[in-house]
Amino acid sequence: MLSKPLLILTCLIVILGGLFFYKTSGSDTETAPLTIGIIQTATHPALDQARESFIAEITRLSNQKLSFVIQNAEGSLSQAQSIAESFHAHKKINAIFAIGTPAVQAAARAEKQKPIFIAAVSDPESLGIIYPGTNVCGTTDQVDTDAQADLILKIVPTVQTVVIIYNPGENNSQVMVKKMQHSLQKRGLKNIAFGVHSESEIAQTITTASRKGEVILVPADNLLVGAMPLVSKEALKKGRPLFASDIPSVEKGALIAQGADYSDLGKHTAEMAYQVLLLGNKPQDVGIIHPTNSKILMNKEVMEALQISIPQELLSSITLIERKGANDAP
Amino acid sequence: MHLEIFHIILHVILQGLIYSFVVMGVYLSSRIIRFDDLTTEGSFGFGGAITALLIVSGLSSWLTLPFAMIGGALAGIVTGLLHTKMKMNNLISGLVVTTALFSVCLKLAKSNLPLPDSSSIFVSITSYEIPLLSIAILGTLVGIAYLGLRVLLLSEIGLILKTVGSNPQMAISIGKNVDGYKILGLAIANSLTALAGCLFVQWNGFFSITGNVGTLVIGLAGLILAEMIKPTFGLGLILGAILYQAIFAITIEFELEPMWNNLIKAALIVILIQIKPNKQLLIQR
Repeated sequence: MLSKPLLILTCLIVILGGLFFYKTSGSDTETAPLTIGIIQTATHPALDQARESFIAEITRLSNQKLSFVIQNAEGSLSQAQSIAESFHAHKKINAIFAIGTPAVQAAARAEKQKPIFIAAVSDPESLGIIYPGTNVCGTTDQVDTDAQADLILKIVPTVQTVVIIYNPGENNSQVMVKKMQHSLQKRGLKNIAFGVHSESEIAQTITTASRKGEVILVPADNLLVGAMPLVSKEALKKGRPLFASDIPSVEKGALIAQGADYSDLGKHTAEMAYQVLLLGNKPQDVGIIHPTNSKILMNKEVMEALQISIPQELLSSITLIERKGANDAP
Repeated sequence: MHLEIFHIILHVILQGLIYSFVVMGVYLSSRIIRFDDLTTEGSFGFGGAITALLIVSGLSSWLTLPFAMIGGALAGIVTGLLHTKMKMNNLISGLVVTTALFSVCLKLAKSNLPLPDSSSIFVSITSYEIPLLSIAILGTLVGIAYLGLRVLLLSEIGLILKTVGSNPQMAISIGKNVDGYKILGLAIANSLTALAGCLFVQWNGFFSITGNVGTLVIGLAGLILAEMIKPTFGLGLILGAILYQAIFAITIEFELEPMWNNLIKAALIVILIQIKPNKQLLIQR
């Protein structure tokens, strides 16, 4: 009674598994000399951008047909492990591109030989994956929080208290918020940090936050950036300028952002991947770089709604954009 | 090529064995004492956080196992007390505990805590390629837990636990403390789940606050697959957990756009359940 269905099941799994292993490892090896496995922490606009620009740039640089196996853990660590494990086991995969902290950790745990390129991690040094002889290299998305604090003072000179909203469950955000608080304090600005754990708490938190401070600041937090249309709508409703830490958020309605441009980060990482895969450098020599970013993007529509004007000194360094879709209508 | 399959199958078994503790826990709470317990998600993370904290502060990795189990049992006891003494709905009491444990875990282990190298019970850093030793260690632990649970369910306590779930009136009429047994059941169930969290963190080599996302789904899906193999308590519980991991491993091998992965996973589960529609299962739904 126990053995029959069990047998069927085991057979099914083995057959299915065997079929796909055979199919996948048989066909691709001859067509593409290089296969890169991409593991992404979750679906997220910034992470998607990093992935797309990485693929575009490495394809352009290498000037040959590359093949990519794209997988997404959708926030689940056990799925990330399984994906990393699969990349590790398949010989046709020559290198791994990991996007986001948990994906990077899972990949670094499973793979000690093939090079791993990383992006969208704030503090790789604290993860214990960088050591002499490491197979990990890539870019971080650290934001220049001093420049950010200066920008807040220039755009909203009357500011006294800055409210920071972030997800305490994300290592990236915690690291960044600490630096933000330090930079704000140095300039004599008060700050209050609010934690949100899920999308459903955002509207409520912003209502409270906008009573406590004049400016809302958001790190490049997976949760908040993912819910940026909601965050920006609520902030605008309350008449509070919203400062973001990643460029794409401005298109989604944040007032202004000076910070990581994830498509740039993807590009940078692709250059490093090119050095390792095609020029034969070692990942440990390529290392981890912290790209500085002076690009400032500002949303014109939000700026007008909040009746904010750009100070003379910043006119040249700020790029104004219309809200996406506003002027694109045919 | 054959080594690739071999390696992936080993990893599927390994991860399945870790989650089989969750499946056993979910079985105990949802099938024996008939309590839909949302604490699972919280106690998995809690077990992991305790483990990470203790290992980083220098405790031997084996000693973290009992501590994680005690932590999980405490979580289960709190859920049970909220439900029985404060008359809160079972879903709400589990949810409340899971929510609270999130903050506790953040306090204990922060959002992300890497373990020092070679400080886990899996001496696998060197033998990662073919983790047979790790599987043996895990298999032994799973075996002990399985046998323990089996002895418990066959004992008088086990019979009363079943009665408390299926016919609480009868348990009252024979003079048994229904509340007490419910709490006991939850404590055992969650200590198993926390043990899974402990092993998960040790195997991964780091604790992440989001590591527990989806634990309940994995546990429940594993349980349903297990019941398809055998509707009562048995080794099917462990197989169910492994099957669920195999399903995801196969999903990855399709190498389609990752957005379709969950659809494929869902389809595979439906197909698997269709192979042997279990009468008892169909009536229950």
